[in-house]
Amino acid sequence: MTMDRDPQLASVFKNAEQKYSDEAFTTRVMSEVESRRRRSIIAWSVAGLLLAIIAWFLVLVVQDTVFLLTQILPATIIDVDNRWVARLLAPVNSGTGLFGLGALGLWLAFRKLF
Amino acid sequence: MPLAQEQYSRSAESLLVSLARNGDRSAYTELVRRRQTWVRNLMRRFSGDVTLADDLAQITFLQGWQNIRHVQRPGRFGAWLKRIAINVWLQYLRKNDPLRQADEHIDSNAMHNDVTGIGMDLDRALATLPGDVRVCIVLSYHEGMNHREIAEHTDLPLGTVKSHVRRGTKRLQALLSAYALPPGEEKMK
Repeated sequence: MTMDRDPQLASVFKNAEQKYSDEAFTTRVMSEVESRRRRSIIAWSVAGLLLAIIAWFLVLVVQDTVFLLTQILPATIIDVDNRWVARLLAPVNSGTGLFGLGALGLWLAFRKLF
Repeated sequence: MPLAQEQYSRSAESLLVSLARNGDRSAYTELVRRRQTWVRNLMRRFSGDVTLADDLAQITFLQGWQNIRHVQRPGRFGAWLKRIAINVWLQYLRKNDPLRQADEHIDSNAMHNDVTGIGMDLDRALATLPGDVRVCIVLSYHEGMNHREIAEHTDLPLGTVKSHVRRGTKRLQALLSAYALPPGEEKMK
């Protein structure tokens, strides 16, 4: 590619270059690398600790919720006397079915809206 | 097993890059040592300010360390680092208006004794150029990049780069006419 570079200006740029060989800059960069590494370790440790504390506090709530779900999800919503009709409606006539239908409805509504 | 300091200073750059990619900080220290002149000079031409240039050079090397494991070809470390340096400057440029701060930078340069006259004059002249023009001029004259390479690195259209280089060259020729060689001397060189 043709370049309209002026040789005299190019020589000004070349002559203006300085030689940097001071160790202070290298030391400064590497000590910043080290302090960033330390900061990152501290940040991850704090995050891990916070997560552990939150998990500690939530463990009872999570346990209770799981227990409640195991009670609710398989429960029949409407009692059907006929054995065959009960079996036929089983997939929708339960907490799980209701939850599934609700999720499907939400998903369809989301797709229609967005 | 880590190498001795002496071995690092004798090692080829591609080997140092490979070592640094695996987390060897001493290898990266040697890379900073070797590349500092180039990056600091580049930032100096971009910013026109010694202190700011060193800060930006430091950011460049820090970003280099954070991303060095992504270097595909250790032999092309210089080109990879140059891309980081240019991005660091462009980001700085987007956040700040260098023309507004140009006078301030030049004043702070005057306080540094290590600044040579020609470097100072060049920085003064560069400070009068708009940000994009200055980037194109520095990449063209300092880095020896062609128009297409500049366009790729700066995301500017090729035509814009050409006009920036042409316009910047004319402006610098006028401002730095004192450094123009007498007719005929250039050919003798």
